[in-house]
Amino acid sequence: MTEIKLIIFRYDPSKDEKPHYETYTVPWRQRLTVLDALNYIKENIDSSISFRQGCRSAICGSCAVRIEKRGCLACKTTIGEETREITIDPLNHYKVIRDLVVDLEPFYERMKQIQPYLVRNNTIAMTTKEMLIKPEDLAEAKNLRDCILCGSCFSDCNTLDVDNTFCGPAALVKTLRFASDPRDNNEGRLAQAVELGLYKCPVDQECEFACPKEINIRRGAIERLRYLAVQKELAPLPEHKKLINSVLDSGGIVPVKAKPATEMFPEYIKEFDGEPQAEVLLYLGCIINRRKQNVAAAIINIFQNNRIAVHLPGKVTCCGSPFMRIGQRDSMRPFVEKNFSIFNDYAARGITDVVTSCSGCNSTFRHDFPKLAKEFDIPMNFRIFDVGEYMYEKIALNVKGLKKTNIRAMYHYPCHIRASGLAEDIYIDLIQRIPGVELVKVPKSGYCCGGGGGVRAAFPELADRLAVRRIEIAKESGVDTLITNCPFCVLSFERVLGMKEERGEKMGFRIIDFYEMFSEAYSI
Amino acid sequence: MEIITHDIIIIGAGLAGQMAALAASQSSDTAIVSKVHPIRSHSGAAQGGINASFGNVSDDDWEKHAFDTAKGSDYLADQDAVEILCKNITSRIVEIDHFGAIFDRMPDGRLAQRPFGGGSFPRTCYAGDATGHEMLNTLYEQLIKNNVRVYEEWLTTSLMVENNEYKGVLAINLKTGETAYFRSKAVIVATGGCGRVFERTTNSHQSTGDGISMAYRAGAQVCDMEFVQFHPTTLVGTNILISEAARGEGGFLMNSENKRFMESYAPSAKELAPRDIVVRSIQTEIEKGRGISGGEFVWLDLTSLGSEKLMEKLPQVYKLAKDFANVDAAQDCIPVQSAQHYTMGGIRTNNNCESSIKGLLACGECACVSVHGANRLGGNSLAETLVFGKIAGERALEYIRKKGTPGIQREAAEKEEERINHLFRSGDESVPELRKELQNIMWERAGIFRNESDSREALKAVKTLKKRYSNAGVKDSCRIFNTDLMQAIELGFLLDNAELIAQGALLRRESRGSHFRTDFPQRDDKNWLTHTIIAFKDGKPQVTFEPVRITLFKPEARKY
Ligand SMILES: Cc1cc2nc3c(=O)[nH]c(=O)nc-3n(C[C@H](O)[C@H](O)[C@H](O)COP(=O)(O)OP(=O)(O)OC[C@H]3O[C@@H](n4cnc5c(N)ncnc54)[C@H](O)[C@@H]3O)c2cc1C
Ligand code: SF4
Ligand code: SF4
Ligand code: FES
Repeated sequence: MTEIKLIIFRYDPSKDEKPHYETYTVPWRQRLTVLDALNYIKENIDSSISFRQGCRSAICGSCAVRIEKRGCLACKTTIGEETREITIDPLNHYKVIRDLVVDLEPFYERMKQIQPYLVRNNTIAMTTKEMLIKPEDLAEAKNLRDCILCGSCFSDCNTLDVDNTFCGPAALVKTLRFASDPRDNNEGRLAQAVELGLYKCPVDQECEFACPKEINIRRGAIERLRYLAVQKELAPLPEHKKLINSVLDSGGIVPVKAKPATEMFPEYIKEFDGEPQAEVLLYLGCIINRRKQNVAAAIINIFQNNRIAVHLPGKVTCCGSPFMRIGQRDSMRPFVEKNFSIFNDYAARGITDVVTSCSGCNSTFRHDFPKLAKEFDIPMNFRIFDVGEYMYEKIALNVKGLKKTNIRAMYHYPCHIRASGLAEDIYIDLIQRIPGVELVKVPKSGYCCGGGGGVRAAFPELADRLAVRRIEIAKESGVDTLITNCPFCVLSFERVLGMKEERGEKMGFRIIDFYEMFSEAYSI
Repeated sequence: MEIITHDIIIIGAGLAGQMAALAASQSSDTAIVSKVHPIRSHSGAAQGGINASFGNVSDDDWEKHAFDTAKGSDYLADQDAVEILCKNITSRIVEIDHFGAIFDRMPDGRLAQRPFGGGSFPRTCYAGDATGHEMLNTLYEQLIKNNVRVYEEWLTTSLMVENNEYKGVLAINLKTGETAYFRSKAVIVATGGCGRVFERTTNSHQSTGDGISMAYRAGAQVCDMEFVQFHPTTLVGTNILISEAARGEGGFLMNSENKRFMESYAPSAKELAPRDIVVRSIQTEIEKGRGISGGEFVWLDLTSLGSEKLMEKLPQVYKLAKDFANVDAAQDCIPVQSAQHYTMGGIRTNNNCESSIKGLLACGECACVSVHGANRLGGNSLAETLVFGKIAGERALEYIRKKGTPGIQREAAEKEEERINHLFRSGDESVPELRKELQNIMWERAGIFRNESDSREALKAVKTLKKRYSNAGVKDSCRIFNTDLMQAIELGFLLDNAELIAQGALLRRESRGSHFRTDFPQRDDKNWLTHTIIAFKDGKPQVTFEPVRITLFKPEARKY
């Protein structure tokens, strides 16, 4: 008989000084859920184990816990036969009452802050008839009503980890649910959302991965609220305006200080003999192009080692991500038009693979551009890849004789890579092809660097706290190195490390760019 | 023991309790006591919709709704109560619509209505297939707006009654384990059904019939408990509900021979015959060996709806099938079986929601006014929660006008505390073990098909289990959030409910609606057009019968 080990957080405040974990063995059966397993334990092994439950069908929201450190519903989580061990914790960001039962008060309180009810200027008397509302006018609110107030998103929210004044994702979902209801007369909802931290969210989407009701929290609620806030001239925030001006002035969010990579390299790079394995258009993104020329060189080197010819057009412009993330969707047209017309030109010449080296650009091209392009009637005759994805999936990667590096590190999984639908394992696998690398894993991979969503510009201290926390999580796991493949993440980490050093704090911590590392391994 | 005083206490924060609270709190100091946070109440699981004769899709009116309800009830419903339900429900829906509920709309902006079992017209208003969730959220929003006091995660354990007059409620604060005495001029019991009496049920773990049992222990009349609704379509194994809306939107049932067998049981209504009929048809197919692969289930086929309609009208059904049965309903049939679904019986009340005990009102699934009679129509119980929830709240307000704050029943309260403490000390019978035995026996002997000897056996078994229960112990000694204790107390409630069901099933020698006696397969209007009333008096159950109030429609044969 297959058996599963459940490692469960236990805490009895009347007896225990501090919490501990206990391990229980439960027989596996088809379609066993975590809630079934908890009930098995309660009925057969230890009746004192405390947890909440109700509907056992993912609608009452009672049974939210953390499984492998990620918030979810115990009743909706099925245990696969291959599973050997599962760790179950109470939700995070709440006081533990006992075992897996937490006090959700902070969550309910935040919810109450936003007037979570329809506000009407009671001028319309109650009639004997329903209000006449066209289905399309309720469509948006309807999409947001699935929330069951389970509190999982609040548990896993990155920002709440370092700033407990933030109202959290569910309160924002609720805000939009009412703001988009044609019957609601509370004109102050958007201003209130801005007040309660709408722009404190780096849009890392951790909440969305936790949400058992698959609510489109990031794009469907947070970024949508930002868009509406911009429409109402409640945003962008003053600091965002500076950022935006910099992009408009210089075509990128970081100013040009040194010679950009696109000027250091020719438009066409093929430094190997014979036919190329593939030909790609490389879109570097402004950070790598202007600040991280070494990374650009590294990527080009990787491609050369794999017989991939690279086209590096100089005229491309910003991907527009900063605009999109802070709600200025209406400013996107020039970015889509310019970049896509260049991509389409290359496609016409047979170069249909556009490879980006910045995860932010990648997810913007993948998620936002197609919709916008459709609106502007711009064709897309090419496909978008991330460099790592390209190495992993599109080519027979040359790994012969990669140089050994003795290093123990943790991979930092960038949220935009995840948002592009690219699995963490792609990058872990690539890193591990370099001999000598030992990777340590954290169960939950969605910790944020603080660099996304315009948070760094508007709330730099919040962004820094997120970056520091990410580094500390790595240190707690006993590593002193993070490897990552997003220039935003790298900059965020470098910034806080630099600040600490300046203050004379020895962090003893390194950030390694994945591409530099890989390129290095080729140089024998 | 802490003493907490309010004008009106409402036990339960489902739709009925919240509706009552909204009405009562308008002009009194009202508080809700609920063993779960309001939003976790089982009402949130209601899927398919709520009936009201808006006539948006067809030429409907309250009388037609009333006729369908009375007929659906197999003429056991009290028709003056049905009249109140059907006349008032449209205003209640308009009200909750104004509160902000997002019901599905027709292109012209009016409320959409879908067909449901036993209804002669598309009469069921809905919010996708998460109607209960939408309504519960909306009412909870109003509770917040109106600042209604809620004691959440407080388990009430007993009602204090003296000289047939209500005095107070005892409850345990689950977060601390402490007991408090709630003193109020009136109480409204809205604790929902007792589905967990049965092994197979669509109900939540919370549906343990607490209020019915508490009222019964306090001497109130309990009515028609033998009428237990089984739902035809629940997922095999977990018995999670697949809403009737699935059939309302065009899904059909198939046996192992790929035959749409409902055609031979209810030639015109087919899958949309009332639930009792569809349940017995499925069970008959299974017993005749035409279950899928000879097993205890049949197919629910939604593939003909197409994935677009599925996603639009039945997104939750689609997800439930996917998440809990690993079936893609757009491509494949869903394996379904019948399970307990609804408690038609309950605390007997008059049309003002007043029980036989002064100051004790009841509404929602725990009450029996009775609008559902022997078989509830889908979509009518959500309607009942709104209509009678409001009436209960308003009536309680009226009742307390002439009332002073009652004195404290110290002795009774101490006895109750002692009873709870006893649970920590008693012997080695295990609560889960007893519960399992109870659920099995009730499913086997008091389920879809019943007869004299099975009912007798069920009753006997429940009595034995009750004895063993007095020896059941709570092992967990920590008072904080002690779910072991909670389940032990709930088991006590379940046992009462089971006894009442078995007793009623034994008494009623006819077949009507959900109650089917194989030894008395016909409806018997001559002898049984009556409600079964059981009240606990002088240490034992006393049975009486009360004639059904037939005011609108003469009973006739029930054909679909
Ligand atoms: C899966 C499912 C789907 C359904 N779909 C429909 C539908 O589509 N249409 C329809 O009309 N009907 C439907 N029903 C039936 C309907 O949902 C219920 O009958 C109705 O919601 C009951 O509401 P209520 O307020 O009476 O009780 P509940 O919602 O069950 O609430 C009971 C409340 O009492 C509290 N409580 C219980 N015991 C105690 C105690 N000891 N101390 C303190 N508090 C206590 C609980 O905490 C809870 O708040 C469905 C039922 C189920 C199970
Ligand atoms: S995206 Fe991240 S920071 Fe923003 S609300 Fe979700 S979890 Fe919190
Ligand atoms: S948004 Fe999702 S995760 Fe958050 S409370 Fe609602 S249902 Fe739960
Ligand atoms: S038990 Fe209701 S959501 Fe899991």
